[in-house]
Amino acid sequence: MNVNKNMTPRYIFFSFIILFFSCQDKCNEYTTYVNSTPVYSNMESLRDSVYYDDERDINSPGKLNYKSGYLFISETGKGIHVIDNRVVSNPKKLGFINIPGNYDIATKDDYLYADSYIDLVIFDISDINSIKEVNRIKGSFQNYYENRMLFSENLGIVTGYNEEVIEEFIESKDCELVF
Amino acid sequence: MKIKSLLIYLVFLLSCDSSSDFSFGGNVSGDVQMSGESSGTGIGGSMARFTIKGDYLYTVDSYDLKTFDIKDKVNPMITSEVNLGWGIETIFPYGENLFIGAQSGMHIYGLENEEEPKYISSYEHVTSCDPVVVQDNYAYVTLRGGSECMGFNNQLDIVDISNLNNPRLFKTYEMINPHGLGVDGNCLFISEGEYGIKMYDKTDLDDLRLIKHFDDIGSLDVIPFQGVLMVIGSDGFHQYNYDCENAEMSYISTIPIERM
Repeated sequence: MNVNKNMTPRYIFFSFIILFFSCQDKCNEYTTYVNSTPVYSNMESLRDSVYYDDERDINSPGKLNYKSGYLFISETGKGIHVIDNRVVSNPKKLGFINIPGNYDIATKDDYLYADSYIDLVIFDISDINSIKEVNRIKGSFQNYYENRMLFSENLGIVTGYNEEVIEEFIESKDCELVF
Repeated sequence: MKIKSLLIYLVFLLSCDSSSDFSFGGNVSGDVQMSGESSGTGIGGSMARFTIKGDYLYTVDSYDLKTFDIKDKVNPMITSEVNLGWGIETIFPYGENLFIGAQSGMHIYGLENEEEPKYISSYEHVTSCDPVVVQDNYAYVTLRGGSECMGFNNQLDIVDISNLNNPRLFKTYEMINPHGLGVDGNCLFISEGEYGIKMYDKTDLDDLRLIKHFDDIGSLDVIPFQGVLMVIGSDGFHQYNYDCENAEMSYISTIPIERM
């Protein structure tokens, strides 16, 4: 009995403290976040953008393939640098094969095999100064892009993301949740 | 006299013919043990996901191994599609087999039927990024940790594959941040990412000897070929002369990378 009597004021005190903290004012605030939405490109327009271009700077190199004095260096996701490496002390950039969605390379005889998103593309490299697309096996690597939700029949291929910074006004937000 | 000069002329002709394919100077050291044994097939690095062996193009993505018949080179025909599991990263052909680097380990596929590679065995290791190259009875696998590789180990595993059905770890060497790698003769080259390129003498697999370490370049993958090491790194394309017999390696040239 005695113990209970002593405890009562303490309970009341703690209850007040809890009440005091839980009844804070509501506050207004701005939050910002990045909203990223996928950009789809039509596969046909990607297929039309394969061409042999002038040499360009190497920015983001990926795979290497060496064949008979010439070297192919992939520019991750963009295409292939063609390099004359017959004089190893002075390698020269000859040109650039523009291939959207390219990551890998293989070569045999007069032909180069490359991926372009879901397609396998075959190039004739017999004239190193005039490399030409000669065939394309469409949809060869479809699984990979489908499994990763990067390809849909209707929309095409995800080729990038639009990032938008969004500022939002939140009224009467519980201040306890503001970080 | 006439016959003699004719002979000299013939020898001259032949020597010109044999050297016309490659104009690399220097010695041809050891046998070239890269993907692409036949002269008509290009050589890829250890990070390759496409490789050609004979009349077939083999490709790996994150899940599947696909085989294309390229007897008609302009019109590849898909002949098989094999599910490989998860985290597939690289493919390396050697002898009658394909060696596939995955985040869970190395898978060996047999090419008895070139149109449809058949699973033989796996060498399991901790989760990491791991390209693989092969020479004779050993596979060289680098394991790299880090966020995208989901692991903590940075090492070289030498795997005894003399019994293809039962690959066994032979020895592990600590590395810094290993990426691609290459072997040629007694030379072993390891790309150490931002920590440069290393050349080892691997005559004694129990005691790899570090010959050179160029730490002033970035190095992601290599192709060693006929005494020239081609290196691709985050800062450019670099080339070195190497000589396995005399344990030498020297810098030749660079194409620098232009940052956007």
